[in-house]
Formats: sequence, structure tokens, C-alpha cells
Amino acid sequence: MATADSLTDRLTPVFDHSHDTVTTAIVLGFATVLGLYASWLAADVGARFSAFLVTAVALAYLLYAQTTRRTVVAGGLYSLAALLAATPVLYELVFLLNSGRPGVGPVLEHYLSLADVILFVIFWVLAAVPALVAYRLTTGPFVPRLRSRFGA
Amino acid sequence: MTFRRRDVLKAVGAVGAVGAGGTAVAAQSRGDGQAYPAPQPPREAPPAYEDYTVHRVPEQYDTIQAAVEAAEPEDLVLVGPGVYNENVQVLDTPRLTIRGTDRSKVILDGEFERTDGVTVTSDDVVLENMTARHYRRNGFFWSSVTGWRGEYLTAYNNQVYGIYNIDSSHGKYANCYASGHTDSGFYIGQCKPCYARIENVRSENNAIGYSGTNAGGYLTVADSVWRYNMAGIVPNSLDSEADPPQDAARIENNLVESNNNAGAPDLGFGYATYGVGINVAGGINNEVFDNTVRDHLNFGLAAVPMIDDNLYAPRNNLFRGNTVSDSGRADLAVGAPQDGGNRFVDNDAGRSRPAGLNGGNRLVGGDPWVTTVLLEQYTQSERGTAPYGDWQSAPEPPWDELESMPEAETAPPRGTVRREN
Repeated sequence: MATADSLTDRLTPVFDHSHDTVTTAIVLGFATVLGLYASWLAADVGARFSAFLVTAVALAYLLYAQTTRRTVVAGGLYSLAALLAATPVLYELVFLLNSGRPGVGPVLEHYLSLADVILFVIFWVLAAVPALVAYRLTTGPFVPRLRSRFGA
Repeated sequence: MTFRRRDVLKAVGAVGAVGAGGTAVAAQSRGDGQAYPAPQPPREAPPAYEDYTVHRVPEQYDTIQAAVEAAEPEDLVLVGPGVYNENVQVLDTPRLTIRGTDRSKVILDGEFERTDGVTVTSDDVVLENMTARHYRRNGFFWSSVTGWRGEYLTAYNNQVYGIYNIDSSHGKYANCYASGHTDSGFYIGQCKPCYARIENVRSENNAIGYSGTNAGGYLTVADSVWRYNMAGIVPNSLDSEADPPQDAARIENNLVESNNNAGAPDLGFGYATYGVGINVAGGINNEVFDNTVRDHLNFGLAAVPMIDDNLYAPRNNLFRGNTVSDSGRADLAVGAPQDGGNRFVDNDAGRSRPAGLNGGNRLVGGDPWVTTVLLEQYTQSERGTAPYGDWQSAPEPPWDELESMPEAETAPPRGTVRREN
């Protein structure tokens, strides 16, 4: 007796429901744009096409699996935030991957600088924006919840 | 000169703000067409002078400067082996030749105090077969002359530039070597047209191998080796020198490799373009042909914007027939913003930024990632946290590999270059 759903059963529920045209377009839009962004990020490590393919297909699947347009948009925004947060990591990865080249020297000399910190801060602040919007979409307005929590 | 670079670098920092914020900036002035062709073809050797006097140092004169002051135009100052602690100035003796009898044993030494090894402001002065080291500015220096030539020169561990000329035309560097400088080993600046060639030189362990600010028109950099610098070959546009943008140079058949040297001396500009083989920084109408470019941490061939008082976006640069390999980020790159017409044709290269530079679909002209890389490095440098080495203790040249001038004792002096072509 099977104790868990088969792989097919676990993958296909995404097609148990369907979305309207607008929601489907939103799914495809997020998948395409974020796929392109991922391919841009991965170009330094020679994974431009595979990054696009994996990101676009995975996002299309995961977002389409959401039940409402609101959660579709929130999922897309969370994904955008994740890619923005990953941007400085991918940027710095080249130094790590090339630390063995003659002349490059200790890799930390290239990493640990204010410029690197600024880069991280900029992209993580940028990432916080879509993340907060997505959080707001999925959990409702912030202010009433804060008031109830603090008894105001 | 030292501070000029740093001032410029402050301005370079604005590139990121421009790209990110979409701030309106003054665009470079652009004319239609190209004022001069890029390449300066090889020229036949100029005729030897027939009526000249040889002034021997130290046999006849204690110092090179004393011999220079005694010389007439077309004379030869022939310098024997020794260490000469002087700053030679040729200010009013045109067509003079100063030549060492042994390239590695005739040494001008600034002792970390004097400014320049040889300063030339007279036309058609030739410097041959000697070494300059430990000066606070340049090893060999021509300024505002018509006619200049440096051959079989070695410059090492001078604070700013190795072999330098500015505001000059009709000249040549050949069979020279430069290492251990905080700006560039070889420099040609502020000439349009230049009527100049750099050929068969070697530049290593400098911040930049070759820098050419606002230099173009009949200007060829060819058949040379540029390696182990922070950056290899960098033609560039700056408002701090006359007549920007840099326009029309030919960079041809060079070996450019491993310009990732984080231990090279640097005053700031080098690390901003660290890990790039050939970087056209705000230049237009350049031709980068048939070079072998390999092993660079960031980019092999790049065209990127420069900003000083104005933004200089690269435009109409042609990269053709180059073999580019083993670049950390991309073999071919164009930074945004760019001004169009940057073409990559028949290059043997791998990945590019943006995609499609080496064939295939190209969605955008320039990639902000490329500009961000150099901006981040500039910022690190400006904050004083970039790695760099000490110019005073940089490695000595590979003396055994540096060829001395043939028949240096007996060859007659010649002019600088033929002017008719």
C-alpha cells in the first residue's frame, strides 16, 4: 500500500485548478522577467541559458500552483526579492572562483571593503521592498495587526 | 599628474549614479564621421645625420646634463656605463640624440627624490639604450614636441609613469620595457592626430600597461607584450586633458595576458580597471585587431563609459579577429551607457556581456553589470582598501631578456621618424 502520493500525483495538482487570463499572464510575466534576470546574474559563471530555463520553468510551475492571484503576485515578488538579494553574492562569486589565478592574491583583499558592503546594502535594501510588498499582500495591512498586538 | 588621476577617479564614481538614477548628464560632443584614420603604418627609418659631433660621458663630461648643454642640434651624447644621479633636461637643443652604450648598465637614478629621468621639450630628440629608475614622476618624458623617439629604453620603479609623452606628435616607442609604475608603463596623451607607433615593447607590473588619454588619429599600439599589470591596454577619455574624447587608435597584434596583478603599484586608476585586458574607456572609433588576450579576472576586451566633467560613452569601436580566452566574467564586454556602433567581428572568444556580442541575438547595446564591476573596484580603490604594491620595491626588470641596441657605440644618430607618411 502506498503511503505517499506518487510523483505524478504530487506534480499534477497544479492542473487541478485553472487561472483566468490575467493571472496566467502574470505568472508568465514573472517567469520570463525573473528568468532573464537570473540569466543576467549567472552570465559570469557561464550559466546564462540554464539559469533562464530553470528559473522560468520553476517559477511558472510554482506560481501557477498558487490558488489566488494575490498569492501568485506575492510569490513573484518574493522571488524577485530573492534574486535581488542574490545579486551581490553572484557578483563576488567571481573573485572566489578565480582566487587561484596568479597575481590575484588573497581573495579577501578584493572582498572585504566598504565598496562590497555598499553593494550588499544597496541590493538587500532593494530586495526588502518587494519582500515587504509580498508580505503585505499575503498577511493583510500592517497597521491594524500592530495595533492589536500592542493593544493600541 | 598624480592628482589629476585622482580627481578623475572621483568623477568616475558618478558613473554608477548616472546609470542607476538616470540623471541627466552632458553628453560628449559628437561629430559625424571620423577625423583621422586610426592606424599609423610602419615608417622607414629616417636618414642618419651626416654632420654631427659625439659628446662622450663620462670621458669628456662628468654629467649627461653637461654634455647636453655643450651639444648642438644633430649631435650625439654617448653615455658610458655608470649610475647617473641627475635629472637631464633637453629644453632647447632640437634633433639631439642621447644614447647609452649599454642599456642595462647606463642607469639614470632618481634616488626617490628627483622628478624625471630625462625631460624633453625640444623637437626631434631621440633617447636610446639606457635605463631610468627611482624617479618621483616619469622615467623618460617628452612634452609638447613634434618628433620624438625612444628605443631600447628601460624604465622601472618610477613613481608615476615609465615612458611618457604628452601633447606631442610624430614619434615612436620601440624595443622598450617598463615596470613598477603607479600609473602606466607607457603613456601617450593629448594628441590628435598623434602620428605615433608603439611597437615591440613590454610592460609589466604596472598599474596599467598602456594608457592613452585623448590620444588618437594615426596611432598604433602593436606587436607588444602587456602582462602582469593591474590592467593591460587602456585608451581613455578625460576632460583633465585637452580635446576629449579619445578618438581612433589601432591596437593590433599584441599579447595581453594575466593583467590581474593585485600587487602592482597603484595610485588609484589601475584598480578601477583591474583584471581587464584591453579596456576602451570612453573612447570612440578605435580598432582592436588580431590581439591575443587571455587570463583576465574580469573581462578580456571591454568598452566602457568614462565620466569626468562629461560622460564619455564608448562609440564606434571595432573589435575584430582577436583571440580571447579564460576571462573570469566575460571575454567580450560593453558597459552601459554606451553610444552605439561598438562591434565585435570574427573574434575567437567565449561568453560576453551583454549576450550576443560574439554572434547571436543581442538584446541591448551595453550591460550595466560591466560598469558596476569597474565602479565597485574604483570605489574600493578610492576608499583606500584596494590591494596594491610598493613602487619603490617592485621587482627589477629581467635584465637578461632585454636586448641592447645593436652597434650602440658606432651607429650614427638619426632623426625621430619620417614625417612624410
